[in-house]
Amino acid sequence: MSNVKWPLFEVFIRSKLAHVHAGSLHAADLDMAMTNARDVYTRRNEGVSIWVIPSDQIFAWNFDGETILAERVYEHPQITRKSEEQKEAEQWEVFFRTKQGLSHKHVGSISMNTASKVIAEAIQIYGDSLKITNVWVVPSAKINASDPAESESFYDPAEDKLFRHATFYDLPDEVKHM
Amino acid sequence: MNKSLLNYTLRIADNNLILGHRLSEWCGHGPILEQDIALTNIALDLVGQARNYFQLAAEIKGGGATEDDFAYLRDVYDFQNVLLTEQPNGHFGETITRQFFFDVFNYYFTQALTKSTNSQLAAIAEKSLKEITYHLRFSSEWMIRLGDGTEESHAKMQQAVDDLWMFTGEAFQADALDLEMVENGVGVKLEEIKPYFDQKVTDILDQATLSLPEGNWMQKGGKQGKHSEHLGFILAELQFLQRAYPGAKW
Repeated sequence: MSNVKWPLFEVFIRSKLAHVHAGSLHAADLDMAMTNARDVYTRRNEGVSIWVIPSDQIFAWNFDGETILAERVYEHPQITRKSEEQKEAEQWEVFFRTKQGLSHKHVGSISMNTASKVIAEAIQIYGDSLKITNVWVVPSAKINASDPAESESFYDPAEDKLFRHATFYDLPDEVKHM
Repeated sequence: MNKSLLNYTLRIADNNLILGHRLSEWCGHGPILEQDIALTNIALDLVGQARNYFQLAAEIKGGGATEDDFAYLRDVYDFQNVLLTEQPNGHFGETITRQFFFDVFNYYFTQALTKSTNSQLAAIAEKSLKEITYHLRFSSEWMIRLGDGTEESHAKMQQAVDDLWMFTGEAFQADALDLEMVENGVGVKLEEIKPYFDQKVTDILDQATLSLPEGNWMQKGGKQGKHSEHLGFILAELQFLQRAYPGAKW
């Protein structure tokens, strides 16, 4: 195989109401990541809109028992980012995971100037109505969305390709989330 | 049975089947996981399009003919795909170059085909165009990255362009069948889409810092059933099961 070290990107797909984390992929740059997301994650007609986010731009919740900390979920192979940057307040998008094994789901936006403050605020706002096991936050400016004009060429073809679905596999009743 | 319409449809189907098969040879051998998935995904798209055209061909031929008959029971001299599609995969850059040249042709050809007076061909073209739009974006992006990449990638891409350019003319050479189909409004006017092909190729190669070779001699013969040595090997693999176990079902 190759020694290529390409950066990692997280892919979120919206099929109905909210963008849900679908997985990650390696690509040389953002444009390639946007293109490849179609092949890797929408082969089976899973959505109408894709968000691709460089993994090193996402902060996760890290609770040490006292304070809520934010840490980056990934380190870029070539670029070192500072652990948490203080700056002007900006808009962040918030994702929650409600149960181990499920995927992070987009819930809304909050404006703050550091990742840990966003996380703390998010838990305060949503923590009562939702059971949260993990939080991801990312500056809205770092989210790259698929072009709605390209939706046709991206998603329509999968609609009538039933041969891509695992139609002959019977799942046991106990498997609730597949 | 309209023999001309049948052959015209088979030409399109054969291009998709053979190129789709070539891309499927990458399965499990891609340089990196995401590209393995991308190439085989495009292969699936092309084979899916081939099926649509073959099904139409079966309808035209009648007499109980099926899509499988065309794909599995014809020999080399009955296939009408252009020579470009049967060229070997080579390294990733060569596959991308071959794909790019085909995608540019395929995009403008299929776009024009959506205006065909034959509504079935037009419908298949309409559906296929969505996928082909994506294929062209994919191969163009790679041409640029590999061409305008490292010294090594640039050298390999320039070699690929020099080697494959002579296979791009065939698709635009109108023979008697092409002219007949244009006459009755079914077929695509090749001389009308050629300028778009040239413009797009120039655009992308410029961005890729690649150049076209001198001279304009072009390979041909595929459309008339005169193929390179490669097609025999492709069919041997593609058709083996149906030939060894005729009528096999599962």
